[in-house]
Amino acid sequence: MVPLLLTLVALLPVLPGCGTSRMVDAGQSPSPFRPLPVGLDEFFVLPEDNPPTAAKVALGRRLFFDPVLSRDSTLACSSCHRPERGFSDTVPTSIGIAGQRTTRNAPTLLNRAYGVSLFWDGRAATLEDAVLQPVRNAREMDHDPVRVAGRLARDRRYAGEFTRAFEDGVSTRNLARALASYVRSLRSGNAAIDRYLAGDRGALSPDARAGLRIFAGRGNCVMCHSGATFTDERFHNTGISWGTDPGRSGVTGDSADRGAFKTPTLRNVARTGPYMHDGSLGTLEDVLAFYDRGGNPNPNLDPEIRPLRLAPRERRALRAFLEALTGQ
Amino acid sequence: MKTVFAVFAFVTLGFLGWSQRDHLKQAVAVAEEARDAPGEIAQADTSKLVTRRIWAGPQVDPLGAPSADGRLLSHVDWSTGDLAVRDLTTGTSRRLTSKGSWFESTEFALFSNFSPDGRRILYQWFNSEFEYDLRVVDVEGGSPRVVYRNPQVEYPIASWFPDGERLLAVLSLVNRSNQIAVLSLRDGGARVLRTFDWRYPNRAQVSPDGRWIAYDFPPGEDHPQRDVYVLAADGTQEVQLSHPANDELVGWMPDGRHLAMTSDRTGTMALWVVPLEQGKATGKPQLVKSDLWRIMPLGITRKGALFYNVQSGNRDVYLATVDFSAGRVLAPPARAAERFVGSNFQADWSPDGRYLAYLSQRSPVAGPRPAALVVRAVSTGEERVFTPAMNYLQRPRWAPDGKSVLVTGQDRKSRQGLYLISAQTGEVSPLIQSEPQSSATQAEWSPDGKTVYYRRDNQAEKQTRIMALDRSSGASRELRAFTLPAGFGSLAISPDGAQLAYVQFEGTRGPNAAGPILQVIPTAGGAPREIARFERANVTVLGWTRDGRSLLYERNDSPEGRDPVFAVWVQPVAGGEPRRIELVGEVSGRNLRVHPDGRRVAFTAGQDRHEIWVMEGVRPAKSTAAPAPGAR
Repeated sequence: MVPLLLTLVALLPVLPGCGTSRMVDAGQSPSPFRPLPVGLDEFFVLPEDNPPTAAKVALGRRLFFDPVLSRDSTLACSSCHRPERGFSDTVPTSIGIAGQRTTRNAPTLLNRAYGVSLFWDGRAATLEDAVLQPVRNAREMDHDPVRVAGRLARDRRYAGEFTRAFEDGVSTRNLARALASYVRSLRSGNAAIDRYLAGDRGALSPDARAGLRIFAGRGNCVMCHSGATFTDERFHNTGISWGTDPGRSGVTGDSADRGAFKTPTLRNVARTGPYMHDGSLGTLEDVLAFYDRGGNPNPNLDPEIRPLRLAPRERRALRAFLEALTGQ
Repeated sequence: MKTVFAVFAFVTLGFLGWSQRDHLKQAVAVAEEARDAPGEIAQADTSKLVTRRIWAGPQVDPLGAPSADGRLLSHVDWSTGDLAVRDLTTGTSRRLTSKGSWFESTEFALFSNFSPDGRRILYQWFNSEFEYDLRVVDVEGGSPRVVYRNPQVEYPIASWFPDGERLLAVLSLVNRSNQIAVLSLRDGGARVLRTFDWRYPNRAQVSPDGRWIAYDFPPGEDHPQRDVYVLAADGTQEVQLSHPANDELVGWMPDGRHLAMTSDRTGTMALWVVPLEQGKATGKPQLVKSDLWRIMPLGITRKGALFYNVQSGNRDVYLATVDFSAGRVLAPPARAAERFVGSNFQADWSPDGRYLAYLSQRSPVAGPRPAALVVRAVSTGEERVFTPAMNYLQRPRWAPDGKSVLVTGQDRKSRQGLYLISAQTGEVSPLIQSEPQSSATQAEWSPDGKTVYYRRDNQAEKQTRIMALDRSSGASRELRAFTLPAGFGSLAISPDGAQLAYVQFEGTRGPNAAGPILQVIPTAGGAPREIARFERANVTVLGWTRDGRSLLYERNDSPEGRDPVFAVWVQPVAGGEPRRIELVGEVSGRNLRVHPDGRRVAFTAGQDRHEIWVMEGVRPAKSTAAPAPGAR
């Protein structure tokens, strides 16, 4: 784990001013998000009350990897959102505090800056809304953010970092802001597909090019996995775990949303298995087979999901294309 | 390959400088417009408003833009496809490119606009590789320069940043996504600001100070209505000017503090201006001019004059009765319908001959908008009008069972293909949806309805094919393949379903190029048979006589456009001299369909026309925006 963490740190963007002086954000500091990887948009949504700074990102990074956020100090965010797995987990549903199973698969955090809602059911509108929910969740970190903030305030180093990042120092609000700033900095692009779309014909193998044609054509994948992050940020019913998880309807109360879950990004999908909101499909081959048969029939099945009847070579091509979405 | 009809993105020009700064992203904002109380519509200052027509006639083209001083207008000279510029003071046009006649080159220009200093023109070019690129040419002439070409971008369209060194582009990619990007003329680099799914901006324009990009975009997946958005040019913030009406961008006013847009919020399309500050609306939209019918904005000059195109024309569906064997017109052409005259086109008879299905362009907005499908009872004139949920549709072909109409088109999610529209409900269902860089067009039913023959173009493979779709299995088989530049024209199936007719062309251009060949091919498969050969003519197969003994075609021998007279040539399939039947004088025609009785025909005649107008004195009401910094 340690070498991987070091690798992650090495890959992080340059953070000017980090830890060198007291820097209170005035909205004028250089963006900590540069350089922008090929394939990602310059524009993404930010809450006006939390402009990112290098100090916030650095603080959020430290918090992300620190088990101090969990009640018994055994779990960090990174325990389930593992950097070497594209900030997702290796198991269908993660193991929370005291060995408890969580109910849904830990999704990747890469490029969540571009998200318009968070979690599989979209219950959080911003990263600031989202990041403390696992802390509070009894199956995950089972802690009280107020107590976390108190613990952090007593830690001289954390207290200093909070003061550098925020005028009012340690608070639960600033805890969320710092974590959100860090997650917002986790961007991945410059994949083979990005170079191909930018004009490099040789960036994709012939198989991957064939896969792209299926992805955007007969496979109909692009109807949901669209845009720069290969997700429409909307909610669709594929029939996975139909009847056992209300999905989006748990948020909206609308029966039409029953069993609908947010389209996950496909960037780095080759590294983020197991797949689907319940982690029930272990490999990309399983996922392709699932969609090839048209998902799981149910009354709310998305009309865009229908049997594809792909030939084995077409599935291989799609697989090659999905691997071409692995970025840097 | 996307066509102009598939993507109608139109990026207009900006005039002044750009300043870049490195600062932090801000939240997207949705500015819900304040609703007006009844009877309280804010009015712009219309005291000096004057509109006048500045160019009319058959040569008018609406794909250009005015120069900043309003003296010149760029456009396409469709007699050759070259880019041209018109001096509006003298009323003369001159070509800036010289590709040669249509017999020599199939390349052509499309949308264009002037650089901020007025010395260069940026334009789209459909090149010899059958791809679109972006080029720049000096207004005074010289060699054009390709400034953007990316095989993974099916359709690029762009306008200038005020610094004259960068371009604002809307790019449609092979993965069906669309982008707003900034292209550098210096190093060819591209910065992507926004990536969208299959939806795309129709227009996008940089503000005069270079800091803001306004564009229009459909916020919903399921309806085509648009809102106007203002995006910071450095990607740091975006504001949606949200309103339930269909709002479409016209462009920035010269002060950079007002946006002009069209909106149907009062029931008809009208011109409005919206005051803005720091990318956000600071007041209610103001009505400039109401009741604008099918206008397409071309650009706003430095003095605030809006140049726009008004779509007109005399295109319509006509019915006539013809004795093909005798070569006589028994009943002269008459309009098929007397409603939406000039807006109806492409008809087909129902299998029992009792109904006519035709397309009718009823959108109040100019440009290739989805047409209505009208089903008209021939005996009573009663009509049912459907508005299929599609981006566009063409070439209706009634299914042999009479239950549906097959069209070529694009659904609301921009998937090109062949679609069935229920003749009872108007519901749309896909028959074939194309892969990226390919298209399915020109569908023809077999008489038993079990097979659909169609044309499949594949830009990536540079091939075009005649295909047969077995509806029961969903599998397509190839009847013939052509490698570009060779290809074929429209398909027509014989009444017994045994043969397909088409016109093959070699595709090479120049004085020694081979002429088109009229051929038939067995639908069961096999070698084609030559029926007739032509020299330097454009020939289009129109259909067959009901007895299957003759082919009907249209020919045009002019290198600079189509024959103004619509005449049908009747060519015996067994051989012999063709007979010419003149149907309509002074207007050209297309899409001839023969009634099951073998004598009545429906066809489209006439053509779209355009008029260029200018609206001067477009001014916001006083005190609607904060004064510019330093202004007195």
